[in-house]
Amino acid sequence: MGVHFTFQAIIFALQKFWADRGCIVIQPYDMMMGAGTFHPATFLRAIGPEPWHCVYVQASRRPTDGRYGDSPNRLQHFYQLQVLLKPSPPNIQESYLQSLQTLGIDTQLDDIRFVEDNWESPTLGAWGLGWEVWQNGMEISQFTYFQQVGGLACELVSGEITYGLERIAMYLQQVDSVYDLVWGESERGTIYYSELFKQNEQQASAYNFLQADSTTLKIHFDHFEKESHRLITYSLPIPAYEMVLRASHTFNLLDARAAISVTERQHFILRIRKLAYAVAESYYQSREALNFPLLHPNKTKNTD
Amino acid sequence: MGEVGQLVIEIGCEDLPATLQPSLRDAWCYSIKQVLNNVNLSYQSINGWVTPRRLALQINGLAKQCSEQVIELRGPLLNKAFDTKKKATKTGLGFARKCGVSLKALAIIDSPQGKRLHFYQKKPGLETVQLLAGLIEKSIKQMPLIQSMRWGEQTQAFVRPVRWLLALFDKQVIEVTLWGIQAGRVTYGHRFHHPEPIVLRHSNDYRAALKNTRVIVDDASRQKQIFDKMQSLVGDEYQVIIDAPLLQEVTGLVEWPVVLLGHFSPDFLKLPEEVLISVMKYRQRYFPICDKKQVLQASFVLVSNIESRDPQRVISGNQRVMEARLCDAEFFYRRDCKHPLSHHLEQLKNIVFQKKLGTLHDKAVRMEKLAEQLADSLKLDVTVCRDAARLAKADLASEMVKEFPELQGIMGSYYVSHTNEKTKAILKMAIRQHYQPAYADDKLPVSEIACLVSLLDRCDNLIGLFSIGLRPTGDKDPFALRRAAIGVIRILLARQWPLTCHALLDQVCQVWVEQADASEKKHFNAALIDQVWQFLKIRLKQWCQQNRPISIIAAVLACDDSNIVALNARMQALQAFAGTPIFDTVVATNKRIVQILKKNPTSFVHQPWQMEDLVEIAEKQLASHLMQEKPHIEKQIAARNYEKALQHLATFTEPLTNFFDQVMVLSEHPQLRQTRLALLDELHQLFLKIADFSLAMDRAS
Repeated sequence: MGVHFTFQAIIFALQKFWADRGCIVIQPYDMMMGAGTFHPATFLRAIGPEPWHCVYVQASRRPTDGRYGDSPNRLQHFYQLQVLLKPSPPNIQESYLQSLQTLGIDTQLDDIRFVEDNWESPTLGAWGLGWEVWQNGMEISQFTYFQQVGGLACELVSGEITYGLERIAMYLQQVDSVYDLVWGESERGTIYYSELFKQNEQQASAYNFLQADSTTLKIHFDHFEKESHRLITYSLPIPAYEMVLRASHTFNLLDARAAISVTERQHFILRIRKLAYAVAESYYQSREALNFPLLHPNKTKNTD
Repeated sequence: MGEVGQLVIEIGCEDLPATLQPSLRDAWCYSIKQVLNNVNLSYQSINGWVTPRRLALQINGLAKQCSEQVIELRGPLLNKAFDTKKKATKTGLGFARKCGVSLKALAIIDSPQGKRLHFYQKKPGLETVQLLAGLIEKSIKQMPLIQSMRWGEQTQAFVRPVRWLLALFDKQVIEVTLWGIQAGRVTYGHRFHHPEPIVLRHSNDYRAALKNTRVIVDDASRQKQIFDKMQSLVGDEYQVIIDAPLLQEVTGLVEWPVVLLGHFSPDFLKLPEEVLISVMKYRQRYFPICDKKQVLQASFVLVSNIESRDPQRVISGNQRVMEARLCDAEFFYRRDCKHPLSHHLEQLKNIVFQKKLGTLHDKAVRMEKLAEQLADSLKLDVTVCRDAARLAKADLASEMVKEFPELQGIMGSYYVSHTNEKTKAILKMAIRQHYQPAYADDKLPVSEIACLVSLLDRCDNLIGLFSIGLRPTGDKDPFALRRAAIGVIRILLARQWPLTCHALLDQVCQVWVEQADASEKKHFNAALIDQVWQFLKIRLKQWCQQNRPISIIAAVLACDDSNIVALNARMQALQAFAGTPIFDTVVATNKRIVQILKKNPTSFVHQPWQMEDLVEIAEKQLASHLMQEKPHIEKQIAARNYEKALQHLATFTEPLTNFFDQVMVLSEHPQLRQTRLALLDELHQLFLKIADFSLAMDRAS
């Protein structure tokens, strides 16, 4: 048996692995979002001609996936480790496989496969082609070449790798329930995933499914939408994007409360997409106005 | 035959989608053939191969030189090429310039018009090696790509990123650069078993070198290997359930297939077997196993891509995933079973049928009403029909179908409950089968009630979607309305249900009207019904063309009837009638009638006529024959006895022939003329009740 990887050790190892290969280690965004792709370090940075390589962990919130802490593998709050490589390098698959090897996954022992799985985010107006990566039949990562983001065709194509941290950890630690994962070891003993998140899952599920006040949420949604549009008119795409994140999470909560009919649902998605389009457009212009600083790496010293 | 060589080209890719691989391989084979033919380059055979990581062509017996090309151009006549002073004219000089030689180099030959200039050149064929780079590039650019993407900074697209390129003509590398990659003599073996580059000395080594590094490049033999191994793995007592698309997909997921046997807890066998199969096939790409009595086993076959040092590890990993998936499925199944199907029916209120067309619950209400109305006329049990129609879509709200959409109908059949076992069995079948026929040649539902529900479902879709203008256009048919129409036709024909489409569609419209907002009611009118009927008619025509001549179909579809069973019976009778000797004459006389009637205004034609207004014997005979036969014919048509009706119609041949021989229809006398036209028209209308014979081609043409 190889190294025993705690949850935190997996994060350290992957961050170091990608940092050693030229990625900037970004921190999780301090807002609620449905996937690591929503982090501005991916969504905004994937836009335009500037190169950009980064790695970060992001908590994903999917209110409808809550199971009150009862399911061994479904959570409404979980972690993704996200790598964005723009432009995607020729050895991206090999690098990814090497990263698995640093986690002690032996590619001579396990059956690793890239199975077609194309990705589309209707709310972000984004899509790409790629795979889900299987390890002995289990999906452990998503691999996507972005073709369009925020309605804009990608000039420079980003390769996005998303590791499902809980899945990988469950495999490495050979446990059947996510709650049995060892998050970290300390002198005071072992800290398990259940200690950190079980109560959270129970209470958050109760909030998401039962307590969230859908009337107020709808008002919030309208407000975030209005604010986002307003901020765009002032050429403030970054705060405008934060409004998109809020609107998107509010929509997910309303969805969990079953407060949206299917017709409305489509309408909500289109409203968010409209915001995402406007943000992408405005963000591109703001970078263009700066003459795309990352295209000129030697001149990026902060002079103002 | 000159010297030949072997060309091998390989595009090394990041993993190609398994389901696209066969069509990619075929597309490249096709485009390379075209490209080679265009330059007169001969070859013996072409093999196309595909794996997840490579698309390859092997062209055997490829000529090292293109066939020599003979260029011959016919020039102007000498008297045009030279003037009277034997000086070259513009025409003469122009021709020489076109041929790229001096005037003196041109030959002079005889032609029927006289002596003329002539150009003849034998061009030696170009060397193949010089052409190949261009040809390879062209063959790739000409491939139609079903999916295409860009990567990195690359502007040239392909299905997935291209990572290496191999192009060898025997021992020689073809220098071609595509996607920013220069072709060479290097390929790569199995991703994990042999990641190092393989340098090929000769194109002939390609297949064997890959096999040595654990890649079976030939997909057909890879597929066969998987098939054979699966069978031998489970032994004689068991049988692997292999469906062709899954086998093909799995073949496209591996370069070196290793077939393994996995198991899951037999407790899960309590789940409906369709659920188990769905999880295995569509989620995990496993093959289910059953025993000789077709009983599903708690085992599966998986095809991995690695000769693992510890195959048990691969198996147990897959087993864990399978168990987790089945746990999920069991969770959904238990939740669904907590409620009767009628509870799920209520939940349909939250599922939209189509943006402008309300919810699936509205649809269930419509289908129930329609079933009630039709059950009576079809002599079916009204209560059972109503229940079946109402509950048919209820499972769409169940957790299981939300997770496994392919189980629609099937889950409903498990969730249905009824105190009467016999009724329950009928409902189960109706709910399960009402999605049939799902495609043009799919099986029809077995039971009568399932057929009824299927029919109503399709008619409801047609009327609803046509009412908001969503009819299919060009090759776009997102709601599968063409298939729906074929389904309607096939069910009516198979069941021999004597329903007139106009009446049926009108009933459907009525239930739509009951639900529609005041402003929308007006859409459900006669024009809509006719639109849908015309649409059905086109499908009917296509459907019948499988076994009937088009002229017979066209002739019958011209008559004013929308009862598909009756139309089909007419076609059958007419087709039989077309084999009789009298047929041609009937067609010819009908054509004549139609021509005469067409030339005259309808106001003049559609008129009552009086026997006493007729003068000639032949016309009086025809008229009395008509009066005598008409009631019989109408009776036979009403009874749908078209064969008999046609026999009666055939008796008109003689009086009609006499009529045309002896009577001048377009008489000077207006009254007489009108009477004759009206007589012919009445006769024509009678014929039209079976078919427009003027459209039925006679055998001679």
